[in-house]
Amino acid sequence: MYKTFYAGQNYRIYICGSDALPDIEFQVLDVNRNVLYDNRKNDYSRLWDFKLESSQQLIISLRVKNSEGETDELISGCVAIMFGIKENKE
Amino acid sequence: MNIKLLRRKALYFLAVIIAFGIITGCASDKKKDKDSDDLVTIDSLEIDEQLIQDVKTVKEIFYSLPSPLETAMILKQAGAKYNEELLNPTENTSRYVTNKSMALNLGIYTTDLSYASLFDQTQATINYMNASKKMAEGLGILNAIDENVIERLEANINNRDVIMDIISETIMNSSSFFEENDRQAMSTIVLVGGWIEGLYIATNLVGPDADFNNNELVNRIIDQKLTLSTVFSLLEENSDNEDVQEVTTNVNELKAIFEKIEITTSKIEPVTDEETNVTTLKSETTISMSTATYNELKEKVKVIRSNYIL
Repeated sequence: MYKTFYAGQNYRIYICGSDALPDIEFQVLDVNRNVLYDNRKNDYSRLWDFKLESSQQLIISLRVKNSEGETDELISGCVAIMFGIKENKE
Repeated sequence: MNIKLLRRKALYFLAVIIAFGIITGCASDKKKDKDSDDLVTIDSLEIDEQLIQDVKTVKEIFYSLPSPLETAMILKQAGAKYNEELLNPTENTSRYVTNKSMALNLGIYTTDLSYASLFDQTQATINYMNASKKMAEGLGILNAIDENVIERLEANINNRDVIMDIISETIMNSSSFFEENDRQAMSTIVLVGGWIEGLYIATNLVGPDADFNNNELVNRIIDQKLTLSTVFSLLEENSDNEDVQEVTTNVNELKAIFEKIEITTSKIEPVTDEETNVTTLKSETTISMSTATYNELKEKVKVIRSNYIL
């Protein structure tokens, strides 16, 4: 998913998936495909808090992990990506 | 009998693909226990393998434009003030009779609604919810906006969190309705309407003598150059729709002006604060924009928006 994030905002990305699904791999990349965050390095965490010094278009990439071994059953379910902006105190 | 079973199983998997976002293959030790089902099971497995291969190779790309509520939040946090004169008067709702004008103004009114609510303008919030509801009804979005939404707003008028929830729910329900009913073109037009309204409000809140250096509102306007590619991607996905083609012409006019703005960004370096667990994406951006370009952009947004609100 491509989305613009703005400088000075405090963001939270939260990945929500059906319980039936295996771990969801979640990466955030810049437009040149450099990886900025990878939840595999953070025990498949489903949330990431971040802020930007300058506005950027970022790519949020999700992949549902495949189990090892012979594949003969399909598992299906919904995945949602939620974005939150922390409101500045007045 | 076997053919029927096979068909049922194939249909089930097709329904799963349509209904759910993610399908994945997993290992299983499942045993086949009935001889009579062998033929079906073998054939189904062939389908499964094909399906699994398809699932493994399919990559779906989504483009996300800011929702009206997000646009209003970004504007407010960039220092925008409230000016009701900039909003599309709610009396204008009777002007919108075509699907295109209703979709554009659903986006415009929900942005005005979000803007008014973030500045605690209670009466304007109710008025713009009513106007949004009329547009949604005109577009046949049954159930997208709760019948009792105005009563719920009035009952919670001093509770900003509940009001934000109601507005957010209204916007999400409208968007989901379009997606689920194969009316993505309308959904895109709603988003573009809201995006143009955000640009219109922002460009009109920057004073004529404003210093462009370190002006957060100007910076957010310039940032829309980044969003432009997302707007085009959404429009291209629905380029066979005549209304979308007309909107694309307008966005192309804006693109020509945005191209005169130069934005250079250094490589992004993520740095995580171990205490707060918040990552800062460090980078430096250089922007070059002339006053003439800004004025040209402001004027073009005004013309497009005037055509949209009729």
